Amino acid sequence: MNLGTLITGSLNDTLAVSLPLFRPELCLATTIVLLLLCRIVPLLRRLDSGIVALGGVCFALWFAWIDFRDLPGSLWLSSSAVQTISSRQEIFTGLLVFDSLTAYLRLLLAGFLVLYILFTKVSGIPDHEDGADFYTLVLGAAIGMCLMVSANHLLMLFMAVEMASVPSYALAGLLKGRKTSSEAAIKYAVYGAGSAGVMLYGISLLAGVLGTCHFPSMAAELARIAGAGGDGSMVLVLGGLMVAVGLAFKLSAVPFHFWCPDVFEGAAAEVGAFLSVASKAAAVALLLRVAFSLGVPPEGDGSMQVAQAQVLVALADTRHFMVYLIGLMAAVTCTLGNLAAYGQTNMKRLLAYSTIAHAGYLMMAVAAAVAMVGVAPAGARAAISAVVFYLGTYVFMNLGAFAIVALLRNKLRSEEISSYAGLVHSSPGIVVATAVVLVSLIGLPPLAGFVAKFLVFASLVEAIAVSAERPLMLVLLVVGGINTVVSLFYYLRVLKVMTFDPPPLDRVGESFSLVSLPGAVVTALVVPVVVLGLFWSSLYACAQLAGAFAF
Amino acid sequence: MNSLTPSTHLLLVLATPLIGAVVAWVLGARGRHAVRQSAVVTAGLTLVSTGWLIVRYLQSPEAAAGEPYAVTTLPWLVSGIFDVRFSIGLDGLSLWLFGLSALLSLTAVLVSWEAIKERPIGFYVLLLVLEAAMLGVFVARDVILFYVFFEFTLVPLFFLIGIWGHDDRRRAAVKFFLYTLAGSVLAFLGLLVIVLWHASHVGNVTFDIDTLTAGMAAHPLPMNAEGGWLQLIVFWALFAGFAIKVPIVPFHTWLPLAHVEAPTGGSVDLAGVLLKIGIYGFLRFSLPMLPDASAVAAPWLFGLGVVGILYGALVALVQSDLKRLIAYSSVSHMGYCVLGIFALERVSLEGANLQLINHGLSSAGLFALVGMIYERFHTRSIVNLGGIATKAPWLTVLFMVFTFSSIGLPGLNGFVGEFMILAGSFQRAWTGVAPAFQSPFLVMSVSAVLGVVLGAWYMLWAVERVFFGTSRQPPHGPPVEACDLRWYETLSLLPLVVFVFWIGIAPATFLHPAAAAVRNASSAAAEAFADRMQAAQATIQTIAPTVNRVVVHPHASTPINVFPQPLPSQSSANP
Repeated sequence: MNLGTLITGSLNDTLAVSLPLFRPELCLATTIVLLLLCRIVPLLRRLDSGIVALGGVCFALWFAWIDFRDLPGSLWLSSSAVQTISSRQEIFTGLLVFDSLTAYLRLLLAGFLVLYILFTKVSGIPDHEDGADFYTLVLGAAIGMCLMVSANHLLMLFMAVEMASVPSYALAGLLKGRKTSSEAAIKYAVYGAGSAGVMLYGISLLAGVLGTCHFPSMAAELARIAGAGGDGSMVLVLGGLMVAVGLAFKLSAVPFHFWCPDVFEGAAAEVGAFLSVASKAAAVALLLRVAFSLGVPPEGDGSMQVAQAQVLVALADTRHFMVYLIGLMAAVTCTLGNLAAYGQTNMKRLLAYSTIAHAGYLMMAVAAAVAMVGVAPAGARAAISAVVFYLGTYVFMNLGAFAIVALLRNKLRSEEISSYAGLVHSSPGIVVATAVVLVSLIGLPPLAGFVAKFLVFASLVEAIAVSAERPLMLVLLVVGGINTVVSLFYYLRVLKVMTFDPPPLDRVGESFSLVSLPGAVVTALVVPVVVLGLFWSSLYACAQLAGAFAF
Repeated sequence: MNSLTPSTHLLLVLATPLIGAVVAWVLGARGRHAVRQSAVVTAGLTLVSTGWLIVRYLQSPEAAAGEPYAVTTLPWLVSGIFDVRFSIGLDGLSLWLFGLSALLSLTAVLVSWEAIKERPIGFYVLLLVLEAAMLGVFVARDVILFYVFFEFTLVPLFFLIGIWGHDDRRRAAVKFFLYTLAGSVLAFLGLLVIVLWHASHVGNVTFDIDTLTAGMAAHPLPMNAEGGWLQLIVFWALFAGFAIKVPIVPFHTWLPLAHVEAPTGGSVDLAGVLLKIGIYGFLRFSLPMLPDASAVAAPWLFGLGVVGILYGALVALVQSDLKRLIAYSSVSHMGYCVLGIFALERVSLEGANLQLINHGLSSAGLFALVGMIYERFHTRSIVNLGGIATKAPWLTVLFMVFTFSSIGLPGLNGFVGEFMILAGSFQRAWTGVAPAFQSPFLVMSVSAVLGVVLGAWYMLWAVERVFFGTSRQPPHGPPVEACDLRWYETLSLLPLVVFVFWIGIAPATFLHPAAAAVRNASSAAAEAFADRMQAAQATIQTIAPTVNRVVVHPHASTPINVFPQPLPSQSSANP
């Protein structure tokens, strides 16, 4: 192969194959450039950066939607349309991968960004001066998250995690005059740097033993090693654990969760919303991606099926290791998050622990999916669908919760739970909205959170019935159940304060009506929580499509 | 009559309180009197309509065949893999509890006639919503619908206690809400596991209770180490929800507080109906769906029932607050129901099912009367009361009637239920357990009888101190002169008195329609228990043949042979 063919091949791969599937990210990148350019041109400086960002994100959303719509098996694909995208497409010479999971999560992230920018426009943080910085950082982190969900290479994984994290550190310190905000940013950056270092070390171990960083090749190599008698498995376990540290940091899974409450409390509620929804969704998707890339051989053509089945069997030990790692971490994360949330007096801190707990529920379903992949592929698909469905509802629940915190902060000048006392007398609408969001986070019918939790528990029960890791799955089911009950107490305590306690005499600010611009934002976030609880089949259809990504 | 089909009739009964709630809200502008009048009319209409429906049920061919009556099934949340239906219907298990809910709702509205002066609109609207939810719990035939109604009984009562309660109302309301909700969420998760297990064997997710019951018989949850004891785990999850609701003793602490702080109308509904949902849940879900786990747990819950009886009675004995005393007597009496259910004998199960109604009538009556005493004397403290009999003879008479009903005087309703439960528990102890377990079961049964004595003691002692002896003036408020029952108070209690005598004199009227349903619900668990006892006996005889040397088999005059031998059929009590 001479240089000419190499260049032609590479150009062809980039221009004809990769870039068309990379349009949402390109849109976001272009928007960032535009935002920065607007700063330079005096005439455009007066233009609101939120509007620019919103426009760019809408384009990204449109392209993400087109990619999702054209997936094979999609409900919206008209029969006459030419099938342009295969179900799994490696792009940029195998560094990234485009499949239904990528498409679903990019759509989810872009949709979240639209809602998020609208919400920040209403809540008033960032102000006009900070706008360009803020949206640049948010969109930059969002690109990193898009790369996280489509990573197909260990180096890409590292780059994506860093690209998502570094702007987040700056975002955490956005409230420049505030001591707690700076402290949060420093804490976040130090933790992030530490875990990134550990992860990089793990990556180098894995790459050294396996001789490749490309996920499917790694899976094949792992299968070969397992077949050959497990040489070097100690190093592999060590490397796997170290990579898990980096992922756990992004997931805020115990014991790498310490940054989470401090950052959420110190940073503005708007930043908390971004970290708790978008960052979490991307991290969970990355976990799915790594677990399924390393635990399952990629689908090939028909002639390879026998070999594939052999690889699938050979990878059983790898999956077993991952199931136990993810499952145990899920159980501990969920329990600790819920127990610690109980004592909180600050609403953002409470939501931080609630976020940690929800990461635990999500990881339970991931563990169930990995556990079932060898024995019951349909069950594994259902479990992945449960995870991504959960993420879909989580966007509305948690963004709604943080929006309420931010908008109440604007009225009450406080984020302490005690300052919400007696709000039901002056602002009944916002109390009802809070009740809907919190009860949905608990997971009671007939709200969206119930359906999501039902699907997660359903996949655990399915895993108990079929998988080899039955005791662990049973433990996870029981832990999940008890945790749901524990979570009642702290969510309902907020509602109790809002309804029963007498309002403080020195309350500042006027009442909060739902018939206002902030009220409209809250309503727009809360209504889907109810609607998705009643009519969830279309979101579930999308989730099922995403769930079929791996095999 | 033909024009009104049973299904429509049942839907109407459920809708009446809700419509009445809207009417009461609309009439709110015209003042307190209009609101309470409309609430009474609504509750009265519901009661009449319910009574008529029950009469129709008793005459229907479905009742004779043991099939559900007045069934309505509408698609509700049917989407994708879900199949949640709005499915309601009456059957033998729910019939009397359904009637009781309608009856006590009228009582609850009437006893609040003068007591509620602040914010009457909210109060009556919540009371009527509570009525609809209570009626709905007992007719729900779908797991999700049951759960939604179950939760919906909590919300109105939460506000009734929290807003119209006494001094410590906030703490009481929150404690009541959190305890019950925490338990019910665990129970709900347990039910979800049942649903999912059923789905993983049948292929489609259904929430229909009857289908699930049949499905659990065909594909029982695993009850061994291989299957992770899933059935037992689910049983304890359901137990958490139902035991807190009953309440079974270690989980009872919310009850006295909630009762003492609740307004009278709330207490009537709480003691009369809501506690019954726990026992109803055991009969509807735990026993038929998880028979093996129920059999394993039965001896322990039998014991917990006895502990509840004695503990409730002993604590009631030392109470100085009349309402708190009756709250603890509720704990004690619900202990009988637990005992009756988990004796797993036919007679005790039917007795427990009847005792639910009996306790509903007597405790609701007693709470209502305590509320009336409080309205007159502004105190519930037993030492500050005295000699009420001279001032309010009819109030005293009614209090005595409900007291006698509560302590089980023959001829009144309480006697029938308690007698059947105790008879069943002795039957279980004598003939239904392996000889090795006979003495503990006998000890527990005898202790349960002791509870009857204690019950008579604390109730009659309280009656003596409150109604007889020297007359005392209330410490607060103006002196009370003539203060006998007013018309609405009489009206609220008379229907209860009628049923107290009716059940006491002709219990068959009430036992018969429920008998088949109770038997169906419990037969699988009773069989599983008999099997366990045989297996246990066999094990004991193999391991330690000498253990039983001294134990006399009830039907044999000679001691059981020291040599291992097959156990004679121990399930003779359940032919």
